[in-house]
Amino acid sequence: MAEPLIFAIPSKGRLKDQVEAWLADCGLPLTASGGARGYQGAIDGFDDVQVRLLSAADIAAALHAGEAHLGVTGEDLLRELGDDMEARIRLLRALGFGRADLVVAAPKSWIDVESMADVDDVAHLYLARTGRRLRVATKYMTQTRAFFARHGVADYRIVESSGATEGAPAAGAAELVVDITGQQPQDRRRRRYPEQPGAAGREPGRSLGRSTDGCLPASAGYRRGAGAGPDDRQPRLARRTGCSRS
Amino acid sequence: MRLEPPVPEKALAAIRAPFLEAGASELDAPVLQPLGLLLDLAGEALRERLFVVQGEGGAEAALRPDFTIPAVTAHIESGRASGRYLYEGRAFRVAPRGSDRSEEFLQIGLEAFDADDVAKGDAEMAALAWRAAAAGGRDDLALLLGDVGLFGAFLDAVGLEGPLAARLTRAFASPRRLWAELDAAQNGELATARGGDRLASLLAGLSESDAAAVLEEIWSLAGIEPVGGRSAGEIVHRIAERASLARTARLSREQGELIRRFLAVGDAPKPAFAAIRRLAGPGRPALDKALDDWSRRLRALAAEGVPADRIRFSAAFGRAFGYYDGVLFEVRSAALGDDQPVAAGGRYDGLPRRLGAHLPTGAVGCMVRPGRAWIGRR
Repeated sequence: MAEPLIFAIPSKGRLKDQVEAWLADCGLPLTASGGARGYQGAIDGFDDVQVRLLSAADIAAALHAGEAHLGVTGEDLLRELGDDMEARIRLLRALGFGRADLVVAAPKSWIDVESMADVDDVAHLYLARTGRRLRVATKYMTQTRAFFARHGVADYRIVESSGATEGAPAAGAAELVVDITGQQPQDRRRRRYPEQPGAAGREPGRSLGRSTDGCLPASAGYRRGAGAGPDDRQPRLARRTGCSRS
Repeated sequence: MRLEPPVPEKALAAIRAPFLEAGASELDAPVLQPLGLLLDLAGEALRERLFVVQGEGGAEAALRPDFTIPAVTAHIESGRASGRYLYEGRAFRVAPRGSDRSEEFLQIGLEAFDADDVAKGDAEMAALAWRAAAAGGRDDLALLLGDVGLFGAFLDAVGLEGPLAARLTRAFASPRRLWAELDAAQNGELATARGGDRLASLLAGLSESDAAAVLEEIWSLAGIEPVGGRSAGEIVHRIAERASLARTARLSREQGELIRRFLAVGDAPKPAFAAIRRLAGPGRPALDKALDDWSRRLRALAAEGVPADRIRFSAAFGRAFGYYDGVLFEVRSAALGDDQPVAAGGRYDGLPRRLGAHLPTGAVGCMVRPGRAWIGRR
């Protein structure tokens, strides 16, 4: 019995609308099916594809666990899964919508801090003066640690923040914030961009991710040939011509 | 979850014996340590190595990665000026991905808090680590010595001072950063003026108290709230320092070369310290004192029976989890390699105060991992 291709897409918000429009553009319109709550769907003409609607974070986790074979979610969420992410998930294509930057932000009052070298310096001075480390509020722990380590900043600690991260400094819970932009910065914040935004991999545009752990069965008709090489696992959905968004 | 294979009781007793002879009170440390405290003291880099746990609605804790902080805490709570604590128990560290290290392992160690002769205390601990490690039966051991404070003394000896010396000293714990800082200093790249720095350069031209007042005024006019715990005075002070760094902070080629050669020193102790003396040249009191202390340490190590041909000093030897601030050491086995030391320790005089100690005290300790010391393991 052939296993269906599980395709996970965002279940709510602007992203959901954008993905549905993109699929329609590609000639693969989504149809709702099964479940009054609308968490499952299908694509006309592809009976072996099950579309599941999940939160963007759950999609990242499902791809990582192999519970979904194909998905659309934020690169920021995928990278949060850790260094072994790239061994398990292949990023097929950046879809170019929902783009945001992940930035390190310091208070506007810190006019002498403009780069990670300044952050490093201030962190050290802070530690020497108070005996405590500078606190960085973020929910992106993995990426924050990797970024700070790349810039040689060690004198800090992360305070995990799952919501309203921007408010942490004003609330006295942290000194710095690492978060995605997308809205206007508050007056009391000044955004610090990483020194080389591109090089730091800080562009979590929405992208197509696919789990490499689950091998698509040959009989499902997705492979061109019988071989087991990575190229043979390219789902047709991604390569279909006529996809106007890229 | 990798568990260490148990060490036979006979071997364990032999490894434990030098610690029992050293004399100390038994420390019974909690397995659960407050996460915030560990991260505050050792930094975010430690988090990857910690097993973090949390009870329902409780504060996050971690399984103890070692016994140092529990020992300091116990000593402070005792209220005594000096004390020695012996511990034996499991510690827990997440292994790096792909490695086969044990994540739950036995440690035996001793921490000493007193205001005694620093060089003598260092040598005693290093010798203790050596004896305990050797009791496990391995014959391929070496004692590697380092000194976090020596770098600062050397910089002083080559005529570096103020912000530049401080900057390089800070970078010592991370080799990559240190080399980057050295290059930047030699190429005059430190504190170059950047766009958007106009306000900072204007403020740098005022006296610090005037500048601080002006900055506060600017904040108020712009509706900027000074969140983040840094006062105008602090910010202005750093601006002034950076300006002075920009004016003065170049390493001459000679200085850069001397520092690089210092960092390259790695040899048996006598030739290593002789080389350092030669590099530094005459007339440098801080370095002289440091080197004299080292002569005394080496004599003490010899008196304690550590074989001279197994000792090596490395000027660049530092440690990532930065609360060590003096002499450091590791006992390494050739069979196990550099990243699995059999025993380790060092001096961390600055830590007790950070944990709230009122009485000034030195702090030095060592620990051995019987699972690695025991030759029967492989």
